[in-house]
Amino acid sequence: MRDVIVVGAGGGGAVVAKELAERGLDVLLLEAGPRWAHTEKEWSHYERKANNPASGYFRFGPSDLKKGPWRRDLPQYCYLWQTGGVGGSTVHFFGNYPRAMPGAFAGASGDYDPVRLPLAYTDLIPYYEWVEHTLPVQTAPMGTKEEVFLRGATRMGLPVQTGKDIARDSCRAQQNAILQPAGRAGKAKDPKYPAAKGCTFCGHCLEGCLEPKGAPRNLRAKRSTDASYVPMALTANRWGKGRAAELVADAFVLRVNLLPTTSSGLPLAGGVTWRSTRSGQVTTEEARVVVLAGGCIETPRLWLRSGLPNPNDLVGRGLSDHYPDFVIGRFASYTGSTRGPGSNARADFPSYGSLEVTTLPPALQAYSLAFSDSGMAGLYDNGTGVGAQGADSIGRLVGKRLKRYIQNVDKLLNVLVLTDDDVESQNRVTLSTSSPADEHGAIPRVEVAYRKRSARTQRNREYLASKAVQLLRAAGAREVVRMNIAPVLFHLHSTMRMGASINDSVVDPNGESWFVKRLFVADNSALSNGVGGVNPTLTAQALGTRTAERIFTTYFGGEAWVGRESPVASIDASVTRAVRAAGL
Amino acid sequence: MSELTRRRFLERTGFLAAAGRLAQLPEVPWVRAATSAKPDLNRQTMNGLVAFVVPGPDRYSRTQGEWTKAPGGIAAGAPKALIQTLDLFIPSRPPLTTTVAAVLNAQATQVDPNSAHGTYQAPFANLAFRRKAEVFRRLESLYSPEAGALRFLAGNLPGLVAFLTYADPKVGWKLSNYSGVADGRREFKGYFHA
Repeated sequence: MRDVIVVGAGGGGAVVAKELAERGLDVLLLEAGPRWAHTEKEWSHYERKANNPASGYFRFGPSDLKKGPWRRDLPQYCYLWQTGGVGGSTVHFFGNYPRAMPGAFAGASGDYDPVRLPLAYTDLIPYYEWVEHTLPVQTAPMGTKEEVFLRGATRMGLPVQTGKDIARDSCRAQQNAILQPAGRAGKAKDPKYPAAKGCTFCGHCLEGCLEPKGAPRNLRAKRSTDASYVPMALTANRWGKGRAAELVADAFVLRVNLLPTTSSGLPLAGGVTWRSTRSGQVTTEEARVVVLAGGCIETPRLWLRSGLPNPNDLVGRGLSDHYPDFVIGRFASYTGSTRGPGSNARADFPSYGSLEVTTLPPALQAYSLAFSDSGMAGLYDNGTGVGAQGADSIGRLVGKRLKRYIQNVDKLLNVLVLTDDDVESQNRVTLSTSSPADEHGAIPRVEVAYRKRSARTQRNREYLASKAVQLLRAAGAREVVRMNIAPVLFHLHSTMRMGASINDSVVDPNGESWFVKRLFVADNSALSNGVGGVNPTLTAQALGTRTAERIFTTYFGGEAWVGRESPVASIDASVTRAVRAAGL
Repeated sequence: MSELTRRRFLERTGFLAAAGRLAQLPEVPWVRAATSAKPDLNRQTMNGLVAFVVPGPDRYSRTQGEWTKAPGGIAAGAPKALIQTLDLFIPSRPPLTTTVAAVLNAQATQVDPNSAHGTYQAPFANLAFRRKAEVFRRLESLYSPEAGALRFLAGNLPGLVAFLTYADPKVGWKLSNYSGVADGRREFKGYFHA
C-alpha cells in the first residue's frame, strides 16, 4: 500500500508529490499523458508540430501522435486548451506568477464575487513565499513589446506597482517563474548552456521550453513543473532526506476506489484503478490518501465516473475561465511581438481583472485574429450586442483584411484580457450522455454559457477591453481590433471548489472532500473562484502546498513546515546534482 | 428537404447536440446524401474554404472575387493540412472532412441555388466571398442547444485555416514577415524602471 497516490502530474499534482516525497512519504504520481524524457528530440519550436489541435504533441491525447486527441463533448463554439503529459498545461504556459487579487479571499471588501477562498489573503502569503522561492519566481526582464506595453500603460496614468501584493490599479513587469537571462541569453541567436543561462527570448513558450540548450532539466528557463517540481519529487532522496516519488506516465485513472464506510458514516478513499494508454493493461493500487489533480475537466469527470458522493450537486459546477478576450494593435514600427517570454508585463485592475501583453508566433497570431463570437468584421456580427469599445473593428478578420493586418507580425501587439469573472452554476463539467464513451469511460461534457454571463462579469470584461484599447492607442497603435473571442478555455478554475461550508463547496478549507475522507483535491479545480482575474498557477500551487501540509499533519503524524523551514530552490546545486545523477 | 425542415431538423432533433457527436453527423439523411460524393468534392470544398480565409492568386480565390497577388492558404498547403487535421481530430466513417464539406455545401446551395452549377462540383467553392461569409453567419445563428456541434464547427474552421496557413514556413512566415524559429533572440532590453 502506498502512502499517497497523486492523480495528475501537472501544475498542482507535482507540487503535492514533491512536498510529500520530501517528507519521506511513499508517493505514486500518475499521469494520463506522456512523459517527455527527451524533449530536445520530442519537442520543437514549430507551431505546426506543437500546437496543431489534432496532431500537436501538446494536444490532450495519448503518447502516440498518430492517434487523435481524447474526445470531449463541447456543445458550443469554444476551444478547450487542455494538455496531457507530465507538467500538464504548465508545459505551454507563460509562467506568469502574480499573487491573487486580495478581494478573492474571505473577509475582503470590494466588488468581488461573493464566492471566496475560505481563508484570509494573509494566511496564504507564507505559502506564496514558499512556492516563489522553490521555483523560483523572479521579476521579468524587458523586451521591445514590454516597453511598448508599459509605455501605453504609463501614458494612461497607471502607476507602477513595486511590490507583489496588488492594492490598486497599476502596471508592472510580471513576476514570472522564468529564470532571468544571464551571459549570452537574450543577446544571441544560438545561445547554449552554460555560456547562456535563463531565458533566451526565443519566443517559443507555447511550444515548450527547451532553453538554454544543453542545460540540465531543472535549469530550463521556464519553470514548468516538468522542469521543477517533478524532478525534485523524483530525486527527493538525493537532494534532501526524503523518499523518491515514483512516476507512472501513460496511466489514465479510471476510478477512485473506496473502502467500506466507517463508523463516522463517511466512506474512505482506498486507492485508484488506472489503464495504461500504451498496453491497455488495468492496474489497481491501494493508498492511505488519494489526491486528485487532473485539472478542472478531468478531476470532476473522474469523480463522477467513480460514482463518488455528490449530495450538493456541486461537483463540476461553477467553471470559471476568466472570460478572456484579445485586443490587438497594429503599429508603424517594430514591437517584437513574436519574441521573448509569453508575457513579461501586466496591468491590474482590482475587482475587474487584468491585462497582459502576449507573445504569439505567426500561426497562433493568425488563429487569434480569426477566432471571435462577433462574426466577421465588415461582414456580420452575430448580433451579440458586444461593442468595439473604441477599437476600429470587432470580429474575425478573414480574406484580405486578415492578410493585411498580419503582414508584419512583429509590428503587432496583443493585449490579453483576463476578466474577474463570477462563479456561475450553469458553467459546468458533467458526464456526456449524448456522446459515446471512450476507452476511459463516459467523456466529459463542458458547458459554458458565454453569452449569458453575470452582469458583473460582462461589465468587467467590457471595462478591461476598453482599457486595452486605450492602452494600445496610448502606446501608439495605428489600428486596433477587438476580437470578442469565443471561450478559449485555458485558465480554468473552481469545478471542485473549496469552501468553508459543506453546503457551498466540494472540498473543505484543507482541500479534503466533505464527503469522502482521505480524498483531497489539489489542482485549479479546488480554487474557489478565478482568484480575481489574474493568472492562477501560483495560487493553486500555494494552496497545493498547504494541502500537502494538511495531509502530512492530519494522516501521517507530521509537523507543518511552511514558515518554519527554508525551502530548497529547484535550481539549487544540490537539485542539479540529483537530477544529473538520476539521469533525468 | 426544404430549408425550414432542414433548419428545424438541425436545431431540434438533438442529433447535433455536441462536438463529440460530429462523428454521427453523416447519419442525417441529407448529410449522408452529400457525403456520398467523390473525394474531389471534399478537396474543392476545402480549397474554397481556405481561399475564403486566406486568399491568394489561385483560381479558387479568383472565383470568389477576393484575391491577392501574394500567395494564400492554398499555396501554403493548408487544404491538405486541414483535411489531415479534421480527420484525425475526430476519426469517423465517413471522415470528418466529408461531413464538413457536406455541411458547407448544403448551406451554400441554400444561400445561392446557382452554386450547385458553377465551375466546381463543390457548391461552396462556387460562392462569392460575401456569400461564403453568409454560410458561416447562418451556421453561427443556430442558437438552439441541439445545434452545438455545428456552432463548434463553424466557429473553429476559420481560425484553424488561419493557423494552418501561417504555420507553413515557406508561405505563412513570408506572408507575416516572421523571422523564423530560433533558440534565442537579441531582444533583452534590461529591467523596467518607472
